This record gives sequence, structure tokens and C-alpha cells, in this order.
Amino acid sequence: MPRRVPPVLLLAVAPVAAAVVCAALAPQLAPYDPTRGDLSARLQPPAWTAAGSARHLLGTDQLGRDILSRIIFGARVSLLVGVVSSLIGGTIGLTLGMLGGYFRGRADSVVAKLIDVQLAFPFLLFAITVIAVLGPSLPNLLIILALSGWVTYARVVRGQTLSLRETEFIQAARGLGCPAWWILLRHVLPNVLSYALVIMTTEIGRLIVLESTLSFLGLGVPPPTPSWGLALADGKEYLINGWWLATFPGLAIMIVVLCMNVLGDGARDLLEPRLRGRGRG
Amino acid sequence: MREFLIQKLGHTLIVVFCVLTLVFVVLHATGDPVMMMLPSNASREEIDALTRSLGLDRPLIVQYGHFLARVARGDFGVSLQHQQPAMGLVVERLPASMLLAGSALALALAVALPLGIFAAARRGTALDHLAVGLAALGQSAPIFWTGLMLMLLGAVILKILPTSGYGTWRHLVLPALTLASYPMAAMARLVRSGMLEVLDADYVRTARAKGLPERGVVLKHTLKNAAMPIVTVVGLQFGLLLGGAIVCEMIFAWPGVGRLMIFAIYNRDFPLVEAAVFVMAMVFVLGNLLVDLCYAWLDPRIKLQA
Repeated sequence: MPRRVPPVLLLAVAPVAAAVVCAALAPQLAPYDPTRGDLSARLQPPAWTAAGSARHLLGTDQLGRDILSRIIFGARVSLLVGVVSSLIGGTIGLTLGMLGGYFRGRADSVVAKLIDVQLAFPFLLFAITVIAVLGPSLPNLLIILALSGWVTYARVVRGQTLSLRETEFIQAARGLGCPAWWILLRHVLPNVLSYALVIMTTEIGRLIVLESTLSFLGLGVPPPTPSWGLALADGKEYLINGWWLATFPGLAIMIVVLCMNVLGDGARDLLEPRLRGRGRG
Repeated sequence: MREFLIQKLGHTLIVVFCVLTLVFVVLHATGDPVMMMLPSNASREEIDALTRSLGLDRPLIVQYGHFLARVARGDFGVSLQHQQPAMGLVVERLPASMLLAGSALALALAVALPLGIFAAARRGTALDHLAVGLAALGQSAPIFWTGLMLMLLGAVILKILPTSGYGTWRHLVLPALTLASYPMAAMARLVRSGMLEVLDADYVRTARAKGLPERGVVLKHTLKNAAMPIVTVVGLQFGLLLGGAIVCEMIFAWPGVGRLMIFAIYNRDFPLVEAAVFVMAMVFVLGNLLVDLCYAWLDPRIKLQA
């Protein structure tokens, strides 16, 4: 039965779609090379200000690099990190949650302990410690961020699997002699997947913020890769004579994350009406 | 109550142990700490001397035992950069971090509680929508961007507050506001939804039917019962507050533990990193313990279950 899609969801789709297009077609869309600076055009304000020029719509940074181009290319890192690390985290969480919930007993208590330990430790602290030793790089960042997210999936999926295994169709499958892996893949997975997808929508936004935070601290994507967090870190030094350096990349992060959160809430309401109202403002 | 306390303390000890093991494994199993501590052009003799003096030539399990014994004495070694005991340096910076986190938490509660209660009591009005919108916005902005924008507003445009530094209350305003922004938004959302849930409860309808004034219903009957999820949120925010404090201290040059730790990482000062991570983890664990005790105080049923 088709449900009416709330207008706020349609409104939230546009910026996310724009970010995806930017990430996919960055070389075609960006007016300049994001890593090449023009030293004769350093710290130019945005086009609509008195001193701005139409050549750089959102101005330039301290090395004369076009801010708009850097934001367009920055979408690549942010979305890549958000999507890939939530996929890895989701896979880990989904697998552990299903195994724990289905087999119960010792497997379950191991999963529960793992969840407890992870929740008992502030994640940013863990990320900083690990990156301090391994050094900042894109693959390290992806692994660290994936590890931050699996707990949410595991908890929800485990709970769902626990109640699913008592349902009649699973009992019937077991009675017919289906092996456990078959039941998990064919009967449990399709029933818990929508929960995982709903979590993923909100996780991507959270991971984008986390990536930019680590990049801001100099522990994320190494320069000169254009990343929204790095752009903000640069902008911090030029707040007084270049407010646009920090303002626009931050706006990009905020708008995309806000829209991802709205989409996450919407997806939860549409896919899982039972969860409606939980944790929702 | 005693059993509950013992159980929680046991849990705390296990977590502390896990944190210590993690710190040990990360620093010892992922590479040679000696190579990390010495400059890249160190001679063979220097490397051997440091390896022996740190006891790194012994088996890993012996090293782990020594590590735990040292930690039990609060000895994390000497900071390579400052040439002072690492623990002392961290403890010295702790009050500044606590001041920042404490004021941010107080500020967040002072705004979020009335805002959430008000929005729930006036559900569906323009004010409710405004509160929900503001909260969604506050939860989406990365903390360092909020900080930079507040700095731009308070210090560059209005020129009424200092951009960085430490000492007077004026220095505290911008960092505390920045750090409070996220927990404020998260708490306001959850206070609102917690209140909404309870406002539909039977006993609230009874209270209304008895003719109690709406203010009494909201403040006396609803708030007390909505307090549990609120305490949970405060507890969950604790970790975020700690992480946020690191970022906040970096933006506003606030001389706290977080800033010390980040600079220690930049300088590969591993004893200092170890001590700072340990102290922050302890603060986090103790904060969670406090939240658990608040639960027991708010909901007497928990004591029986323990």
C-alpha cells in the first residue's frame, strides 16, 4: 500500500542528491583544480561581497585555491567515508547480531560482552589512540569509523533475531531440517535487513561528522586531499581576515548531515512504523 | 543497595582493565615503541639502551605485568617532550577540562530541560516546531564548526569576547557554549519525547480529571517520571562531552587534558598519550558509575533487581 511521503522528506532528498552528484562528477562540475592554488588570488572573498570577483563564487583560501571546487571534491571523501565505513560496520554488526541472537548461549554472551566493552569507552578517545599509532590515512580512517558503528546494528539485529527464532516459520524451517546458515540467510536476514538499513541512514550522517572531526584534528585524511574537515581546519587560522574559509565547508557538512538525519527519521517511519516515536524529537 | 554498588564497581573495574589492556596492546603490539619514541636518525646504541631501560627486551607477558604494576602506582613514565612525570602533567590540566565540561553540562541542562518541557506541553504549536528545528540543527552541526562560528560572532564581529585563552569567565563563555550545543540539542529532543510519552499515561489523565492545574500536572506528575530517560541521555552525553572537550580545547586554546593529549600525539610523546588516555577513560567510567547510582536513586525498583 503506497504511503504519502511527507514534504520534508522530499526537501531533504535534494541536498543529499546534490552531494552525491558532486561526488560522482567532481572533475566535471568543479570550476578549478581543488589542489592547485593561484597565489595572485589568495584569500579572495565570495563573489557577492564588495571585494569579491565573479571568478571564484565562494572565494579562495590562503593558497588561492577555489573554495567551491574544494567543497565539490570534498563531497567525495565525506560520502565515501560515510557510506563505506557504515557498510563495513553494518556488515559486522548484522553478522554478530544475527549469530548472537540465533545461537544464543555462549556466542550470544560473547557478542553482548563485546558490545558492553565498546560502549564503556569513549569512541573518539579510541580513534585518536589508534590513529596516533597507525598514522592518519584513508584506509585506517575507514576501519576506525567502521568499528565505531557496528554496536548499534548488533544490538537491534540481535533483539530482532531473538524474537524471530521463536516464530513459526523459522521453527518450521528448522523442523524441516534446514541448516542454520540457510535459515539465517534465507529467513532471518530478509527480516532484519530493513532495520539495518534504517540505522545506516542515520549512521552515515554521524560518520561524516566524525570524519570531519578527525580531519579537523589532523588525524583524518592527510592533506592535500580536499576534505570538508581539513578545509575547516585551514579556515580556523584565517577567521579574522577570511571568514568564508571556514563558513562554507561547515555549511556543507551541516546541510548534508541534517538532511541525512531527516531522511533517517523518515525511513524509520516508512519502513518500520513500530519504531515510530522512539528517540524522535 | 550494597549488592548493586558492588556489581557496578566490579563492572567499572573490568572496564578499567580493558582500557589498560587496549592502551598496552595499541602501543606495544602495533609497532616498536622505541622507534616511535626516538628520532628517526637514532643510533643502534641509543635504540638498544632505550629498549633495555624500558624493559622491552623481555617477553610480552612480563612487560604487561610490569605495565599493570606501574599503572597501579600511577606511574606512566616521564613525558619525552616535557621531561616531567606524565601523570603529573595530566593531573595539572584536569581542573581546566573539568571546568569546561562541567559548565557545558550545566548550561546544556539549564536550556534543554525548560525547552523540552515547554515544547512537550505546547505540542504542535509554532514554539514546539521552533524548538524541534533548533534541536535538529544543533545535532547536525559539527562541534568544531559551531565553535568557529561562535568565535566569528563573539570575537570577530561583535568583539565582546576573547577568541582563546584561559583565566576569567569571559574566556569560558565561547568554549562552554560550543561544547554545550550538541548535548543541549540531544537532551531537548529526548526531554520532549520523554515528556510526551508520560503525558499520555493514565495517571496523568487521572491527575487532570481530579482538576489539578496543568502546571502541577506537568511539573509534579510528568517530570519526575520522565526523569529516567533524561538521566540516561545525560549519561550517554558524557562520552560525547569528553570527545567534544578535546575538539573544543583545540579550537579555543583551552589548556586542558584534551589539548595536551593531541599535542602529545603530534610530538609522538607516548608516555603522555598513555597517561592522558587513561585519565580520560577513568573520568568517563566514573561519570557512568555516577549515572548508574542516579538510576538507583530515581527508581527504587532497580535496587531490587541488582
